Amino acid sequence: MNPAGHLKLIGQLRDLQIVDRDGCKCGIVDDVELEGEPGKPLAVTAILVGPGAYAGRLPRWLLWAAQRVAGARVVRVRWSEVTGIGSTVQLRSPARELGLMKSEDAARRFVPRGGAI
Amino acid sequence: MKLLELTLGIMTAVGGFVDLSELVFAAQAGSRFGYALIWVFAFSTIGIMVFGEMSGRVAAIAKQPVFNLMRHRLGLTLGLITLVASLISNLITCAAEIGGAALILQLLTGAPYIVVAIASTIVLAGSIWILPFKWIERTYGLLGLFMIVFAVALVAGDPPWPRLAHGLVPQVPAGLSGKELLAYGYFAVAIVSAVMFPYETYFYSSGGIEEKWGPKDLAINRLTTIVGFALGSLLAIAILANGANLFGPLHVDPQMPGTVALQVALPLGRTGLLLALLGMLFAISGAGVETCLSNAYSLAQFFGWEWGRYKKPWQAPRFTLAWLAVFALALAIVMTGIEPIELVNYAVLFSILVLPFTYLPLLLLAGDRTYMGDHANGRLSRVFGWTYYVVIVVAAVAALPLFLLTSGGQA
Amino acid sequence: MLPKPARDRASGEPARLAKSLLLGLVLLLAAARQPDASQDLPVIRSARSLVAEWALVNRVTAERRVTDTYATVMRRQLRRKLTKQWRALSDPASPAGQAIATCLHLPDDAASAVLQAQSQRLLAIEARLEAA
Repeated sequence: MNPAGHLKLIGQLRDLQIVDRDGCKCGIVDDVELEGEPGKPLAVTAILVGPGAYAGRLPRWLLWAAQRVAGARVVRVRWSEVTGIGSTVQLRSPARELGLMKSEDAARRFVPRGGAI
Repeated sequence: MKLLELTLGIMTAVGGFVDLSELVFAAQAGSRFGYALIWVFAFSTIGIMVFGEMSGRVAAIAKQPVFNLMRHRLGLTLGLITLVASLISNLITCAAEIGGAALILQLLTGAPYIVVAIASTIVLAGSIWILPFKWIERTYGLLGLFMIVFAVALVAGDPPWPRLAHGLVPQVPAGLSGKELLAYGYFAVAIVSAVMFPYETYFYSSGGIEEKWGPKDLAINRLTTIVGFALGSLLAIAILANGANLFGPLHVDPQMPGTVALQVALPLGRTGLLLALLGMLFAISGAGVETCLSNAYSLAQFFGWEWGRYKKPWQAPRFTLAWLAVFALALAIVMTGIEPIELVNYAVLFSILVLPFTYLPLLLLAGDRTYMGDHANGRLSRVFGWTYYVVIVVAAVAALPLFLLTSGGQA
Repeated sequence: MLPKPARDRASGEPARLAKSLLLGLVLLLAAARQPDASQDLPVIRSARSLVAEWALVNRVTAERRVTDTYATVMRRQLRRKLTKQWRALSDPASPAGQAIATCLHLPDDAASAVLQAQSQRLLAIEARLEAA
């Protein structure tokens, strides 16, 4: 699917796996950022990744619980970074250049290397 | 090579079919209701074949595991609720399996329960850390084939074969009191839940992606789920039939996993007992590994993390920490002293409540030509899929009232 | 100024269905409380089976069909569970309580026939409670 064409935002974009240039899984499309005015065409300007993007998508009690556990960080990935949309959203750049994978890198400090075949 | 692959796949499915819940419910179903619940095992096995085949096909064609679809189809709120419910369900099941494995190890070695519980958790965690995915799956699946001794014991016990065969006919036994009817209903629902545990499809579909299945693997997927699960269910039915033939007349409704091994000791003596205990140990341990990894898969897939044992543990650190945390929590539950059989009851109840939310996205996606192309559900898959979905919803609605009215099948 | 993103509509209908199911289940839960008289039935049923299992373990041990380790561990586990069931009875001095207490006073390797007799006693009590 062509990111420059028309999209069904909920059916074809939101909640899809994001995969970077190197094939790394780097999050889910938690929400989309739009630009436009009432009566004028809308354009997607960015995808939003992180529990901070849940606001407005969850009931207040569930949002409170989710953000107590996972925090309220949100990473904004410019729409120009998206090269393709199918069963995943593919990005032009490596995840780390876009500010993604921070918690993955933090978690890596706790996992020893070695012992695996 | 393909034939070897297929044979190993089928054998793995057979050895991996039975877990603690099937063991316990099959044995109790037989001792309480004779052969009258065999048809429920057969019926549920067809259900897991249908959904198992669908989940493998989705992994091979859409290259998406079940939990990615879950969120995409159900939305964030319902997806999150389903995630939490299935995490709890799998965690309870994992704790039950670890507790069950510890009980069996205790029977084999005489060592204290807490020591063997910790030791078996460490061994299970170690096996996931060290071994690649295929070896994990094959090891527990193939070693679980010791369970075949239950089928041998059944033949040696010379059961009334015509009555056994009649158990395949859908029936409600005549002359049951109101309470017994409710208990029969509870056992039927519990068997559906135990055979169609959601963790099996999460694990199977994630495994398909771990093994990088493609369209050329569809035949193996179909044969593995159909032949493998059918043969596996014969083992569960053998345990039920042994329960009817050997335990029923003695008024034994196994309250402990160790008692089930007596089904083999009675006809086959000490050697039979040891083989039965080994089979139970590996089958239950395999289920412990599957439930643990299923939780890690679900969490990672829902939030879009790197996941899978095709990566080294440090290459998917959040996924690794997730499955380590599941084992730690499961062990903590075991250490509270709660009986594994009690945990099994809660696991079965929780799982059936989650099932409708698990299987709906799978059913919808497997039928969606946008993702599946020519491999979308055909008429047979659609008919069976939706029929079983209705059955699952009915079972889910009936489960909690039946559990309460029968005190978990004991009243 | 962009409008706030709308609530997640994709899950609207299923979420409402889930809420209705949950409410229905809670109501059924409230209605499902059993009368006090039959609360001992699950305990007695479990105890009856435990005694029968104990009898079976002792029988197969005498016939040398199981290992000594298996027999020792099973007897210990059975005794522990049986004690728990006895404590769970509403009246440990009831006929069912007395039958269980009799078993608990027996040695681990008690004769299988003696244990079977107590299991039958519990079975009769169970049948009376079920008929009530």
